[in-house]
Amino acid sequence: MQLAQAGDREAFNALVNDIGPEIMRFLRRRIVDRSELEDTCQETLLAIYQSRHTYQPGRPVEPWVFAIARYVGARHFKTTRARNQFQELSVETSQQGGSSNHGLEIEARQALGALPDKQREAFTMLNIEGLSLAEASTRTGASIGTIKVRAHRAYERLKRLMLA
Amino acid sequence: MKENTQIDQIRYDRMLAPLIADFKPVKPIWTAKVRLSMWVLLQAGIMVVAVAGGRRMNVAAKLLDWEFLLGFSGLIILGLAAASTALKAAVPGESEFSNRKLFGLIALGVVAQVLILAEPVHAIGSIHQFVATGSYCMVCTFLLAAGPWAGLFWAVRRAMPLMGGAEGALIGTAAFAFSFAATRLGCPIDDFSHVLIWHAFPAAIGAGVSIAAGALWLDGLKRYRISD
Repeated sequence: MQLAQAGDREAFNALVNDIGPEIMRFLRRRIVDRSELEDTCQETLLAIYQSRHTYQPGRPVEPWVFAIARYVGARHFKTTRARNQFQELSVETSQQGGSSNHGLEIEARQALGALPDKQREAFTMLNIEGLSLAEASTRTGASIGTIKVRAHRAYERLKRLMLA
Repeated sequence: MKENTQIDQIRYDRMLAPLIADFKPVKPIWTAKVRLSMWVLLQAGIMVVAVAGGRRMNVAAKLLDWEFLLGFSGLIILGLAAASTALKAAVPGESEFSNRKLFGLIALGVVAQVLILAEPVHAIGSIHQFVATGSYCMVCTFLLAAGPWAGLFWAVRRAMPLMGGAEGALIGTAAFAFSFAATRLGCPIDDFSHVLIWHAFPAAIGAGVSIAAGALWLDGLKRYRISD
């Protein structure tokens, strides 16, 4: 990253190719549609490029990169959430009487969507993506204790939402 | 599995290449501590100007009043905490702006306001005089906050602010907490209604305007959004 800040385009390309798949996996937890996922990934990479002056040399790159990815992803999620909820509701209504598993899946997705961003992030990292607490901590820049608390709160809230 | 393989095969530099016209070197921004230190130096200079140019003759004696001293210190700490949070929050991965920090700042602000407003209530002699002396204090509150507000706003905007209005609120709180404290040191009128109307209200209004300015001009991601 320091080389990229100094104007080394090759170093930046290498960095982008290195972190690109991680960002894509990170964003995939929030975005299902393939083309939207690629657009958001591209937007994140552009934000990383444009804000490369904010990286503090000597510090780990991951928390910096994922903080940007988290904000771009959250922004995208907020703008599309209303649209997705409407679409899911339409699907549910049109398929009423269909398989109960599908209905449950939609319900789970909606409940997950209703969680605060940070809780959803911690929950999906640990329970869907299967990351360890240490990995989730490195990725988000939050402490292990914070991740634990967020995941627990998400679990409790999901339980309440699903049983309501 | 298939999708994972597809993701791994993407050349991310090619994804970005069409969006980058020319790749230029950049100078990393100074750390939040360095920028905060410079801002504090500016505020210290302003405080000196406020005391030297102010009409209060009993600055030392007033600072021995524990309520005033606590309120004054509270405003300074509030300003420092808000400025530090604003600068750190504008650097990705540096520090998260949590609800705990927000409530801490609000609580500190309320306590400082209560203490600094603990002045005797005098009957207002003449409305004309009340407005004339008060208007001067109000103008001073805005003037003393203008430079530090602009400096902090620029420093935050130069980084990557991601919270818009919240960043604006922090910047406004920082600049106006200091200017409130400075004008209280320079202003000789120790009267509750004067302090409330001509010192506290302008500071609150300034901080409110700063929220709007932040929402308008401090959304870092807007700059990086790809237009459809």
